[in-house]
Amino acid sequence: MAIIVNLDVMLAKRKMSLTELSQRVGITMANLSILKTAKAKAIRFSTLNTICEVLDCQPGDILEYQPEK
Amino acid sequence: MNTKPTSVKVIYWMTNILFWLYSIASIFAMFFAVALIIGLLDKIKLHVGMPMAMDLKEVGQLVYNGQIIDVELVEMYGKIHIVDAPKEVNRIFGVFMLMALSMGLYIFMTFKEFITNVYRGAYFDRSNILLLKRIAYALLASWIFAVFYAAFQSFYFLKQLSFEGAIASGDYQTFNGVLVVALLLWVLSHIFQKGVELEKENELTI
Repeated sequence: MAIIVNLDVMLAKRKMSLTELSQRVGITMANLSILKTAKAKAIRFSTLNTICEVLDCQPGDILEYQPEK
Repeated sequence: MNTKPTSVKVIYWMTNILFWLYSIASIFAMFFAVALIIGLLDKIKLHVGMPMAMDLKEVGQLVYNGQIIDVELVEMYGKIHIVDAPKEVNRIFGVFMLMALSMGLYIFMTFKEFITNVYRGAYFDRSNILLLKRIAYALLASWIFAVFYAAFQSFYFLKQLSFEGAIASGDYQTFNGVLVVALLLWVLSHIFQKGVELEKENELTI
C-alpha cells in the first residue's frame, strides 16, 4: 500500500502510549493496532477526526503517501 | 441475547427433523437397492416412477358449481408396477435407485451443514460459499442424472409399453426446476463470496 500510517511517530512526539490513545479516542487496542501496522483497509472520517483532536495534529501528520516503486 | 430470526430457527429445526427422517428412509431404501442389484429379490412387484407422459382418452365428468361438465383425460404422468420383475430389470432400477439416493443424501447433508452455519450466526463465512457451490454442482449432477434416467427409461422401457387405452407419448420429463435451483444457488454462492469480501473490508475499517 502506498499510504503510510505514521501513528507511532505522532505518539512518540506527543509522548503518548497506544493504550492512552485507545482510552481517549474510544477505539479498541486491537483496532488501533490494525491502523498502526497499516493493515487497515479504510479509516472513517470520524475516527481520523478524533485521533487528530487527541493528538493535536493534522491528518497529513498521521497519513503519508509514498509512491510504490 | 438470542437474535436469530424466527425463519432461520424454523428452517433449522425443519431441516434437522427432515434430514434424519430422510436419512433413515434412505438407508432402508439403499439396502433394498443393494438387494435388487445383487439379485436377492426376484419376481417382485417393482414400483417404478414413469417420467414419460402417457396419451390416453378417458371420458369423465366434473361437477362444478352444481353443473356437470364433460371432461377428457388425455395425458398423464404416473407410476407403474412391473409385476414379477426379472433380476435384470431389478438390477437396472437398483443401480439408478442407489445413485439417486446417494445424491439426495449428499445434497441434504450439505444443505443441513449450510443451515447449521447460518443458525450459528456465520452468514458470510468462506465455508458457506463452498457448501453452496457443492449443493449447486450436486444439483446439476442430479439434473443430468434425472434427464439421463428419464431418457433411458423412455427409450428402453416405456416405448415398449402397451395398454388397452393408453400409449406412451414419447415426451419425457426434463426436471428443469432442479437446473434452475442449481443455477440460483451457484449465483448465490457468488453473492456470498462478495459478502465475505465486504465483511472482511468492514472489519478492517477503523
